[in-house]
Amino acid sequence: MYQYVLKRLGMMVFVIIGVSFMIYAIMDCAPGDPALEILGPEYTEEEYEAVVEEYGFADPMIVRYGRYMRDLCHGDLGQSIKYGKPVMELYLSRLPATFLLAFAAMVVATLFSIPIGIYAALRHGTLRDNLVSIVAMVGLAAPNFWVGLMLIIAFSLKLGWFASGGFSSWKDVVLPAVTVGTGHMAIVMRTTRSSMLDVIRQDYLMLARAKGLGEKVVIRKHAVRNALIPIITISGIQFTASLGGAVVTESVFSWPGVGRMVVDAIKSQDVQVVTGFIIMTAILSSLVLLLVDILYAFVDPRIKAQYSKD
Amino acid sequence: MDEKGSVRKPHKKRSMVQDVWIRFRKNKGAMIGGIIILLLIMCAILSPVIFDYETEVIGQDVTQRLIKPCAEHWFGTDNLGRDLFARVVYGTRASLPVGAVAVLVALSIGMVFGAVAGYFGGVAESIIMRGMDILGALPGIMLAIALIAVMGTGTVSLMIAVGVASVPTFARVTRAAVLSVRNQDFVESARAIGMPNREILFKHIIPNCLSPIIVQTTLRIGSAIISAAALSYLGLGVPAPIPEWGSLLSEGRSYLRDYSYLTIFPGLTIMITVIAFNLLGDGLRDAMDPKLKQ
Repeated sequence: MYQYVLKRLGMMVFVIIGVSFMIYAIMDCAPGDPALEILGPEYTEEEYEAVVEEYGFADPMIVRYGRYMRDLCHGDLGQSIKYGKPVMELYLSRLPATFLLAFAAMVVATLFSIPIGIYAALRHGTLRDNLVSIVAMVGLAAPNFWVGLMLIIAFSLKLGWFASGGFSSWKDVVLPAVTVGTGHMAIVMRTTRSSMLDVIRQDYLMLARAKGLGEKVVIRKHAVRNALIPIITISGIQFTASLGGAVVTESVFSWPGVGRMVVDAIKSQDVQVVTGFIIMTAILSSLVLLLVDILYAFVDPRIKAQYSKD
Repeated sequence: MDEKGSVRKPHKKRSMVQDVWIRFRKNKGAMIGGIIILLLIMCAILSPVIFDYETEVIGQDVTQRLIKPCAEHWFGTDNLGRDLFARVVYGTRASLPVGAVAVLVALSIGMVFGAVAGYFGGVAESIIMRGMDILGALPGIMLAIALIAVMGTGTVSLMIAVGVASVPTFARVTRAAVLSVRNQDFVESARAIGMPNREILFKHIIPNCLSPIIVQTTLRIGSAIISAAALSYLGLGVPAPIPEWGSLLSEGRSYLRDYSYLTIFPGLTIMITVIAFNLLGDGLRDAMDPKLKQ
């Protein structure tokens, strides 16, 4: 088992180095001279040279990347020009809101989509099943942030149940979570349905019925449990996607999360913040995906068996 | 995905394209999707004929501002008195090409990488596919934002930024398809008669891998349109005053309370377009690979 974990860990380190290098290289081409931002509007030629020397701006990109990653390991992502604060501090102050939103969205999505997906699979080919498929299709096609705008119109402006943005009480998480959750819901629903359809045709279900087990037990204990693995995978992927991908929803709801700060930083050309936030998002996503992988290696005896042989 | 040969064998008189068309025609959803897409393309081509860009699409008229949807203005007018219907229809000229070109960029890069990885295997495959893992490790929208930060906003950078995120998908789909074709007899014989690798790849392998790639292309255009709209909504896409569906949504954002139609109609248009592309893609998949259908 630990071989599997080690292998995945190695892959993760590789991907993190790759992604961070890619982002560093891309952002390195961003317009603007970092030395000028440190100096301010008035400086002499000597001062400029001194700053370039001190921070090593003239070094080759790969050297600066190495230094950046070394600092990152010490929790230092540089300084934000706009806020005058360490980027790491800003990131950590934004992370809880993003995490909460991603988590709430996953709860919303799982709560609705797994039962509905199972229901549709059990009534495969009926009108209700088709209805579920149509709803999933619409959910997939509706732009997430637009769903958010529609929710604001209905539940905040017309009904007045929720605030239209910001984050001051627990109620404020409902609309953004439903918004991000809608996209997940469609995907999780589809996965649940097709995974259940696969499982339902298996011989062991017939055996379970032949043993005389009640239909409810057959479905709950034998079908759903076996159908869960792809559902866990896809939910994990969706969760990591919303850690960095809920950028637009965060902007729609003025949610104080990571994504919205990246957008603000782009507009104010705060390169350090953009680089740091995106690299941290990539690291966090990789970590969560690793956890999901390890989690279902424990759930799925087949993966365990594969590695215990050698 | 494999053994496509056996699908074609029984109908010797019909070509594969005819075969696919016959199956496709029976699929109502796919036909509806196809028709909607044709209509949208017509809109994109004909909108300069229907509307005068200077006066009707970007021309401002304060006396006409914020009129609710009526017989004269089907979708109402915006805060600058511009007819929303004209702007949504004209928006096809920005949104459709951005989606299509973005996917074509991704397709051409991803297909070459995927084909090389699948055909040659070994070190090349490892390097390419790990590269794709890295590219795919980041949420597409974050990558797009980083690219736009460097390239600046504009239609071309929007196309590239949206496209890059789809490259890994195409590489993976192509690689999987190539792997299933690579060891078939006709490839062996091409190799036996001394055909160079490059020619085998482009003349024999890729043409036999096209159907999953075509399906993926259609499905991806929908999500590319959504990503492009999202970036435009954030102000990182097509610059004003060009009407693009995402920027129409962000213009309507300030008028949610009293003039919600300004956000409802552009959003519905995006949704219907994406549904149409998804229906078409699903239909093509069923028509090209009947075995895949449940």
